[in-house]
Amino acid sequence: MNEEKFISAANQYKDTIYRVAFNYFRNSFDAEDAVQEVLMKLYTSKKEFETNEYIRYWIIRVTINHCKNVLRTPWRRKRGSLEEVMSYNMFDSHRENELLADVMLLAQKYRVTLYLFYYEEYSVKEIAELMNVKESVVTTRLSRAREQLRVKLKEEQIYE
Amino acid sequence: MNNEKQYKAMFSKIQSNTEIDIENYKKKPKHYLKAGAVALICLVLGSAGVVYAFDLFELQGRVMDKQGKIGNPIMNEEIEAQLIEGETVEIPEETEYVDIITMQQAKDSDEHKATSEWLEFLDHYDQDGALLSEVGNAPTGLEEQYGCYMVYTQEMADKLEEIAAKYGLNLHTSLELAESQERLYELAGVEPFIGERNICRGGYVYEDGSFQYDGEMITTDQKTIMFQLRSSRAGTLDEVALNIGSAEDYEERVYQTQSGFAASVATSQDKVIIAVPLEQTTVTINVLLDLSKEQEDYEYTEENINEIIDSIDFEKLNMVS
Repeated sequence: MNEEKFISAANQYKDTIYRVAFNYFRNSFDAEDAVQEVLMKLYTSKKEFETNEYIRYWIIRVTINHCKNVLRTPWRRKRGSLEEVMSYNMFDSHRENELLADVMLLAQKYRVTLYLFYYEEYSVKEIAELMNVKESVVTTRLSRAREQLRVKLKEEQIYE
Repeated sequence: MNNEKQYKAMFSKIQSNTEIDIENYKKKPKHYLKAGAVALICLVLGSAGVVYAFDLFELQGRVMDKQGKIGNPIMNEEIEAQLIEGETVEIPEETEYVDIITMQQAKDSDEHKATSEWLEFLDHYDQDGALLSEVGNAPTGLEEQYGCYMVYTQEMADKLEEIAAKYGLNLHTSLELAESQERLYELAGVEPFIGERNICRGGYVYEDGSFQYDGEMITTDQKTIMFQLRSSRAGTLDEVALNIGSAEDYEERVYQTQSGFAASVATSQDKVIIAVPLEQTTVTINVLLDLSKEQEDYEYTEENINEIIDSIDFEKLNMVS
């Protein structure tokens, strides 16, 4: 990938990496690390023949693998504690801080699946490929994530 | 605003503070180089495997002899649950074997043999990454001379030189990015060889005139097809190779171009590889699928592929001095 393409892709997808990683780690420190790590892999991969859409797919896949690898290492910097999650104050809107906290209190596998489905708008099949699980597992996770959010937010039908 | 929109609006505000500075990436930490270069067998090209030479009219003949492998982590619900609980888990891997072709001449050529030997050496060298960790990000003093190769120890440099000498080949010494079609022509010393329906997306050129061209073509039925074209000059050891999955999955045919060259077209369910041997160079075209589209939209017809082949003036590539 030449420098121009890399800079363009890096600026375009750094937030995507950050958001996927944030869903795994629940903290900004590890998420920023993931941005650096994945972008370095993009820079050194020599994988320069893809469409923008494929670059996004590749980046998310690498990010997921990176996050899983980090999670398996006992020396990783820190994990977002429940207390930390409950005190998120990233937005001006109380409603959004509350929503983020509710999402982050979901189990990791639900958070990531939910994000890929609703934010990145991947299909169940694509998520299954990205996360290396069966499609039925993705469907189950989405269903349970929605159900748990309904209970937590005590609202009418959420994400319907 | 419904809940889905609230979710998206909320996440859209979660943004990285990372500033993209190209200089930070140019430093290329060695541990990434290792991953990247084993990925010369694995990632760029896909993954490691049997490495073949792209023997025209017979894909099997271009596959490298040595069986390569990649490790795919196996994740399941139980392992994920353990990870979530913070337990240290040894994640099992399944081994996948894939076939690799070189971008060189046919299997009995010195270029192919040398590339195969070098990639086999890399595959077995410093497998635990200990030497790479030791080197770290510090300059090795080998960058300038061996910058086109996966070399980070003197032992690797010696081996590379040994293989090149054994087969009487040169080594690449430099690579220059070409950000436009005109610049690529200029650097590679070739006459314009790409048709009007093609759009250049960049490329790079080695000191011996070997080059890679990235571009796309709009076919007469209005499909936009991306492809890479690699022109590999004889006489140089090139470590770039291409993962083709399983060579057995390909059907091959020969297409006689309108300008009289024989193009070997190997097609599998998700890949099309075209090879055209010229006098002093081998041209390999890797047709890329647009995964953002539905499958029926990226299933290219034989006519589409033939159109790509005919959009390239192989005579111009053959005239390289």
